[in-house]
Amino acid sequence: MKTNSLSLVRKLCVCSFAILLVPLLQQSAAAHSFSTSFLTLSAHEDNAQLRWSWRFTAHDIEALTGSPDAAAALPLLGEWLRFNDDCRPEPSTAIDAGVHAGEQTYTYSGTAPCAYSTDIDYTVRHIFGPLPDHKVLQRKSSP
Amino acid sequence: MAAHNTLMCVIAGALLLFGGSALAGERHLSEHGREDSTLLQQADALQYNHEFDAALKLLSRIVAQGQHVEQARLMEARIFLAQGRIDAARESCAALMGKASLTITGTCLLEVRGRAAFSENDQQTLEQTYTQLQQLAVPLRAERSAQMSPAIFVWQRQLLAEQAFLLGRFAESIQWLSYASYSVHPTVNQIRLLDSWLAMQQPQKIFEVHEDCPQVGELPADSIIVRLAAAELARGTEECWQKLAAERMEIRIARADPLHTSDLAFYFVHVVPNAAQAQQYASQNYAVAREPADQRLLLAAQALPTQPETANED
Repeated sequence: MKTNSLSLVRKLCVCSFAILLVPLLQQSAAAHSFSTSFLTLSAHEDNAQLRWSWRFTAHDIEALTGSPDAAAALPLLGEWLRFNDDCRPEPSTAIDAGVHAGEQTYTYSGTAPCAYSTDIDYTVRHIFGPLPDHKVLQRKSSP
Repeated sequence: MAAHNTLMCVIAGALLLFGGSALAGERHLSEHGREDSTLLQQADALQYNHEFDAALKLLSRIVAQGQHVEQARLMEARIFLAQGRIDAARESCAALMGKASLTITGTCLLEVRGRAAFSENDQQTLEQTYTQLQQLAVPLRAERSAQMSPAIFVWQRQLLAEQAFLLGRFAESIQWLSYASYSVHPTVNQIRLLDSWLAMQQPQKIFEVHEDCPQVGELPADSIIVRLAAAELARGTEECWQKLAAERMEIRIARADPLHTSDLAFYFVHVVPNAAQAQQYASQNYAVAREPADQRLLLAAQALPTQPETANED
């Protein structure tokens, strides 16, 4: 879009009544935005470990860390993702920046000290508060 | 229905006669709205996520507590309309009588009447409602009166644009939204403008308000992206938005969200026609959202020719 419509809409809706009435009409489902990340898991050459990569949009990373710096997420990845309850991912410091579906993305990758299996259990935590409808789409590779 | 029509005439007449007191009511409501509105905001957040029953429950609580009754009733009516519960919406609007200004009550009831007429395919009543709404929406100029609440002005213009659109008067629909430039409008109005230009087969108008190709990190909502893809297709030139729409829809399909499937339905009706996919997503959408646009999308999906099944080859 050629201008930032959100700030202009905010300017338009300055009176308190507008805050109550206009959102009913403006905040329709049509404006819903979707937050999605992509997790890929595969076997490491060393069978005692697994490889992972996790791609986020840049604005989701900023919402989660409060910083536009992609590296700000590195110390948090071990909190956000766990395999088999207590197996923490160990991220590499290399972050791939790219573009996917029109959005700037950051892909984090690394290993984790647990064996890969196609039905490996993992949990994602702490990111659904700032990103309520976030979904992690997962791809598992064959070992 | 006859009793309802009579009621509407009474309200419309009263609105024209007592316009001054209606405006006084608007000012009162404006002051009232400054109070704590946490519960209303929660209800708004719930309806935004299509959690309609939870939102309605919260709104009943607000009404019972006696605070923000006007706003709660309006939101209630809005949700009932989204669910296609016309009678319930009419009751919510009628409950505003004596509590909100005649302008607000009348606008609410005329919206419901327009929706009822559309769902019953009653063009004559829709025409009448559109005319009454224009009479109510004083002044009839595009500029906003200094006395009128901006919120009510915006609301009435939005409804006039919707009713004009439903009557197939696309140029008038655009005209009702001309009080602000495209980029200032909320997404719901932008979609109305895009759909009007598409219906008038004027895709070039769309690219006067949007870039020819998307800018990374500055994407509009998916609902806009699929319309830009349709406009690009109609114009028969670049493929930026079509490519982007395909990528966005791929993610949306992978997410398998049970809600907000109207973008997918639009995509499979207007961008990459596919009867099976269009009907699947349009039906899924219509199960939770029954606005006129949802109804039109379902009908368009059902009207698509079904692809012949691929024969098995030996």
